Formats: sequence, structure tokens, C-alpha cells
Amino acid sequence: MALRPGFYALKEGFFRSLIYAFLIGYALVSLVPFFWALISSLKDNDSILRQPFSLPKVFLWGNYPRAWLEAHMGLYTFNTALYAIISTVTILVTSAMAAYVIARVRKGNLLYLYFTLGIMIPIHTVLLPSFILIRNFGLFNSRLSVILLYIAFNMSLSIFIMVGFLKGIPHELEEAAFMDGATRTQTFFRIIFPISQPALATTGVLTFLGVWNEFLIPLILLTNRALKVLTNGINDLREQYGQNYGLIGAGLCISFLPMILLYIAFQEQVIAGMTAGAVKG
Amino acid sequence: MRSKLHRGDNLFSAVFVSPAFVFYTVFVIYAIGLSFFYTMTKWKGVGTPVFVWFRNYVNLVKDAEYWQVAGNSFTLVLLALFIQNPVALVLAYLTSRIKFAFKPIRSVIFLPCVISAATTGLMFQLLFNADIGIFNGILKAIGLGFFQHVWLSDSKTVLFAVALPQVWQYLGIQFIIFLAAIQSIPQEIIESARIDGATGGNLILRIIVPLLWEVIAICIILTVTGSLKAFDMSWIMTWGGPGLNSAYISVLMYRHAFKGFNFSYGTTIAMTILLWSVLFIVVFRGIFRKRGVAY
Repeated sequence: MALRPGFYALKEGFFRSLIYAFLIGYALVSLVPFFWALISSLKDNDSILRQPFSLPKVFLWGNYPRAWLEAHMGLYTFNTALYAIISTVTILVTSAMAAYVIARVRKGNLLYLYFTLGIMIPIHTVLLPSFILIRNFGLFNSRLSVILLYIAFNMSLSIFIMVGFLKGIPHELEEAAFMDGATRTQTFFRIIFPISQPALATTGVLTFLGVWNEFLIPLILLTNRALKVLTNGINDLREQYGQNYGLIGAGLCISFLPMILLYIAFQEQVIAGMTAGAVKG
Repeated sequence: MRSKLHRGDNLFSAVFVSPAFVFYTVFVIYAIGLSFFYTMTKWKGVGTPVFVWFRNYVNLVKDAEYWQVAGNSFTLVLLALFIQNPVALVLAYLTSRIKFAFKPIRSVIFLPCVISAATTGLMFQLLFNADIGIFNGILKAIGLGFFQHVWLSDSKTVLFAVALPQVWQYLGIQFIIFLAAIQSIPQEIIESARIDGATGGNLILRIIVPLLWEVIAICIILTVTGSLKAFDMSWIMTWGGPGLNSAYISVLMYRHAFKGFNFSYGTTIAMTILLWSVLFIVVFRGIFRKRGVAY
């Protein structure tokens, strides 16, 4: 279909504007819930009920200290961060160690198969027996309980990603280290672990996000308020402050702002991690 | 003859694998064995389990509540398949065609994926609120006030109201996967198709879908297995109610195991999530064995 260049350019320009209008429209609609939580958090209940969609006339910051202290969102943020950091670091070290053995030392497929089997298993299927195990170990309602399950449930995928990466590292690096008299352990911690940074970043971001956002595991294992996490807090907000919309708005913002900031800071890693995480069954 | 290099490799391997091995073996492999065992028992979670063979499964097949929540889960699966996937594909295709503001648009479309489903659920619970919610607000503003609803209490609308945030939130993952895949198609193929007169929907259906079939197949499997596991939004927005109108399989599992003191039956319900996922993958892979196109 031959068109005159001028017409083609005009048609292209028209379609391009349509594409932009559509994409920007979709993007803006996507931001509405966040924006709405934000403006609600700065209003009192009266003005929310009277004019739910208007911008706040004066910024009322009072909902934030109430959500942070009275609804314990501050404590929950601390707990969530603590569990997420401990489980992510543990996952990274243990999965990299195991992946190194699988990719480099004993190149049998059996261990690999064993570890990656878990990718197929939905966590619900192992969650109830894990709850019983945790209870039998005397760990119900403890910080360790959720951390242990986060580590175990993320192991398959982390090893899958790490093995894929480690297989691509040139052998010369290790051989040079052995020549210089380094042991396997030294080689791993001084050479392999540091150069695995891209894979560690992907796995780390993926684990961290998953743990931060997890709801069902802490719902089942943590009933003590001092140990609860943000998603528990969201659940409690609804149960205890059902009509207090300003407070709920502030609680919502406290729960999503850290993740949005993290996303802005580590965008490429987040996208790479979530895409890799998508293979999880 | 083992070289000096490999002396001690066995000990090294054992030490390095064991932390990961212990965590994973106890809470995943051993746990799934336990899970199978529990489904064969009658057990409240305390006391001694009584072995009942397959009675839980037989009861499950006859359980109208189970089929109701399974129907809800399948509805979510279908909504995700026929709304989430196509919209994600179209958005990905359009985004692949722009240069200016490419990154910000990509970032914003993906943004909801990094938030917890619990947070999204509570946000949408408020958006659906009858008095202050935006959905009723919009209906009123455009003169369709008579369509206003108490969305989350009406048994006809509640399931869709609970499914919508799920479809919206996780669309970003498919979008990002499709976008990466479309960008890996050689540009000449798309350009020559356009010069031959293929446009819009035609181009997506005739060129993009066949070329990306493997990626799309993976996304379809992910959509189905992911939707079958849905729990958070249903629990946060409505506790699965009214009745069981917005409860998914996992919500019924939770109710039986932790609210109804029927732990073994809850485990049986959880096991069906795995069974449905495996069944779907086997059937799907069986039907679409060779549909991809090489380029």
C-alpha cells in the first residue's frame, strides 16, 4: 500500500497522539487510588464525607501520628522491615552457597531438580503443615516463625535464579584463585559472591518485596500485636477503624510509600526481579 | 584419580548445601508430605489425627460450599485471562511504539505490582464504599445515579468488585513481560507487516501473538496458577462475604482450618489448589503443543 509521504506522516502523527492519549489516560487512572488515599489522609472525616474527591483545603497532618502510634503502623513498619531484611539476607547467602555447589562443584542435576521442585508448589499447600511444625517447635507467635517460612518458601526460586547466573561465570576466575592457594570457601566468599551482584540484586529485591507484601503467613502465625507486620495492620485498620477514613488513608500511605520509594530507587532491579519471580507457580 | 583441587569437595558441598537444604526440606518437602497425610485424616489441629483414607476428598466433592468458592476462583481466572492478559498485551504493544516518555509510562503501569495486595484491597474497599467511594461518585456525576450500588454487600456485584483490584494490580507483571518480549522481535518484521497494511488489532493478532506464543503461554499459565492462589483481597475487602459470595478457594481453606476447627478438611481444600493448577497446566500444554512460530 503506497501512500504519499506527507499523508503517511500525518496519519502516523494522528495515531501517535491516540496512543499517547490512551497510555497516559491508563497511567493516570492507575494513580487515582494512591492519589485518593493521599488526599484523604490529609483531611478530617467531616470533609471526606462531605466532599470525598476534593483536594484538602488545609493540610491536616494529624492522621499520620494517629496511624503511626495509635494504630501501631510505626511498630508494624519496623517489624516488617526487620523480617524482610533478615530473611532476604539469609536467603541470599544460603541460596548462593547451595547454588554454587549445584552450578560448580557437583554438577549433578538431582540436587537442582530437588530444589526447583518447590517452584511448582503453591504455598497454600504447604502452609497448614508448616503452621503445625512451627507450633510443635514452640515458635508460634515469634519473630522467628515468619522468618523461617519466608526463607523456606523463597528458596526454590532463589536457587533457580542463582544457578542460572553462576553457570555463566567463566571458570578461569576460580582456577586463578585455586592457583593462588585459595580454598573453595575462600573462593566463594571472595570471588564468586561479590561478582554475583546482579543476580543477588534481582533475587534480593524479589524476596524483599514478596516478604514485605505477604499477608497470609503473618495472619496465621502472628497474633501478638508487638510482632505484627504492615499487612496485619491494614487488616486491623479495617476491623478497628472502619469509619475513620482519614486515619485509614494515612495508614494506607504509610504502608505503600516505602515500597514506592524503593521502586523509584531500584526500578530496573525491581522489574527484573518481578519478571524472574513470575515463573513462580 | 581426584586432583588436589577437588580434595575436600564432598565436605565442602555438604556444608554449603545444608542450610538451604534444611530450611527447604523441612518446610516445603516434608510439609507437603505432611499435607498429604493430613488430608487422609480427621483432625482439628490438636489431639490425635484419625485416619479416614479419602473421606475428606469424597466430602469435598459433595460440598456445595466448595464448588461455590471454586466457581468464584474460576471466575477470577477467566476475568484475568480474558481481561488482564489482552489489555496487558495491547498496552505493551502501544508502549513499544513510543519513544518519548517511554520509561515514565512503563513505570507507572507497573507501579501497582510493588504494593501489597492487602493495601490495594483496602484502597479499593474504600473506592467501592457506598458513601465516599469513587465508583458511586462517578456514576452520580455522569447522571447514572440510579446505578449506584452498595457494591460490596450486593451478592451480584461483590465478586466483580473484589476481582477488579486483582486484575488491575497484577496486569503490570504481564505488561512488563510482554513488553520485553515485543522489544525482542526484530523491528523489520513489524515494520514490513505495517508496510503490507497490517494495523492495530490485525497486527497484534496476526503477527505479535503467533511470534510471542511461548511467552503468552507462560503468562497464561502464570495467570491461572496465580489467580487460583488469590486470598488477600477477598479477606481484606469482605472476608469472603456476604456468605461466600466473594470467597476464593483459599478463603474457604482459611475458614475451615483456623475458624472452623476442621484442620484436615482445610488442608484438603488447600490441596485442590495444587490439583487444579497441575490439571490446568497438563490440559493447556496438551492442547497447545506446537503453536509457536520461529523467526
